[in-house]
Amino acid sequence: MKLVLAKDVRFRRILQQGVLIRQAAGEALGINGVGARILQLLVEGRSVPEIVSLLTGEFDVEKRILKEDTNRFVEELLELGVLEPAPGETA
Amino acid sequence: MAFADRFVSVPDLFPARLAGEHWGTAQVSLDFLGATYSMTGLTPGFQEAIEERFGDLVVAPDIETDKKAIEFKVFRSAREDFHHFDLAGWDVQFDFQYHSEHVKMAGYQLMGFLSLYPRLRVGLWTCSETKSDFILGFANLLRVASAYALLENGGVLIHSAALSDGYRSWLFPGHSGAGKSTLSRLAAHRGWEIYSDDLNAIVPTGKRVSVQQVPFAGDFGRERLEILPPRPLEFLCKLRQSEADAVAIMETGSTFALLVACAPFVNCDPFRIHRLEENLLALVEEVPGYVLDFSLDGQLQGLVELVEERDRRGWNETGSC
Repeated sequence: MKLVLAKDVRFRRILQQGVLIRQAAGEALGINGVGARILQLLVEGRSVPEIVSLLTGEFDVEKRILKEDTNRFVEELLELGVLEPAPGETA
Repeated sequence: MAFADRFVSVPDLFPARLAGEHWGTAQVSLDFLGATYSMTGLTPGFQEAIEERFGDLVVAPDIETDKKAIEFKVFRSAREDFHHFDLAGWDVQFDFQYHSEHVKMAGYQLMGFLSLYPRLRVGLWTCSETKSDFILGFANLLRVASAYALLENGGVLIHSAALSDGYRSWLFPGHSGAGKSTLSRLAAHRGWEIYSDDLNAIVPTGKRVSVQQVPFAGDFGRERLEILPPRPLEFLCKLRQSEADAVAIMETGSTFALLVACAPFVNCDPFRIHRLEENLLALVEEVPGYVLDFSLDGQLQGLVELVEERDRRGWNETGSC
């Protein structure tokens, strides 16, 4: 499933890290380097399995652990309403 | 509820440009945060109220200065233009409507209009006739105007406490309940200076950024407005009240996020968010962030140790360590 940022959320890379901003509420959330990389790839239209494959080549972490961590991170962002299924995708 | 519905009788008639009937012909100019604000359309009573509230900042009219000044025009509104309600127990709130070239603001007995291009100009429509009612609305709109003026000049207004040891300053961003006033009281006991325990300006000064006092809010800031000069900002801290004192480095993304969340008015403006991000990026590149756990024992041990540690590493007024 492909995911996109919710309409009222901005994502920006900040010095190898990231920040999510929900403007209507004036809220912001700092994201560490790995999280920022995942979000960047999501914003570029990559699916979660694609992201896990890409990150496996970038980080010295076992693929199984990377997959679990990525899924957990994405689930948290879905729960926060930061991410939502891309148009045409179902949750 | 649509914009201004809760404050204004006919929101569709909200002013769309700086025009209307002035309250009077009195005027006064204020100078702060590197800008001069030229207030016109005042009654003698309104002028007096501004001079009483912002006396330290009043400057004599000057033709050359006034040409560059930020116009702040005050217009008369009819009482029936607004909804009136009991303010007992009401938290002051405002409605904002953001546009590419201007911002509208509605509040209790006030309508505000900030024209942002080619330069900032401000309009206040109010039905308040008394000095005390007028100055409340005026100060609130001036606070918003100063946030936009700062943004344009590379700075940012931050909900925060700011302390100084007389040489450098430290910033503690946070919303209500974060511990800013508690920290400020503890710092005052140590003999440190308090810029404000609520709202401070961060302003680029040469290669550094400095904290400057603003004339608006907080238990500590007002009466000392004249006294504290801008001082270079050494670091900023997220506050966490805790049973033990401790300090940890805050990641850049989290520092940036904290500052965005604590930049009032402009952080909700979708047309100016890029500018805010650019200003804050320059700030986080220059100023390190920490998480400060502090206890209520009055010692501020974690903060003291952080300052001492940075001193050992060679911080000085002209450059970070």
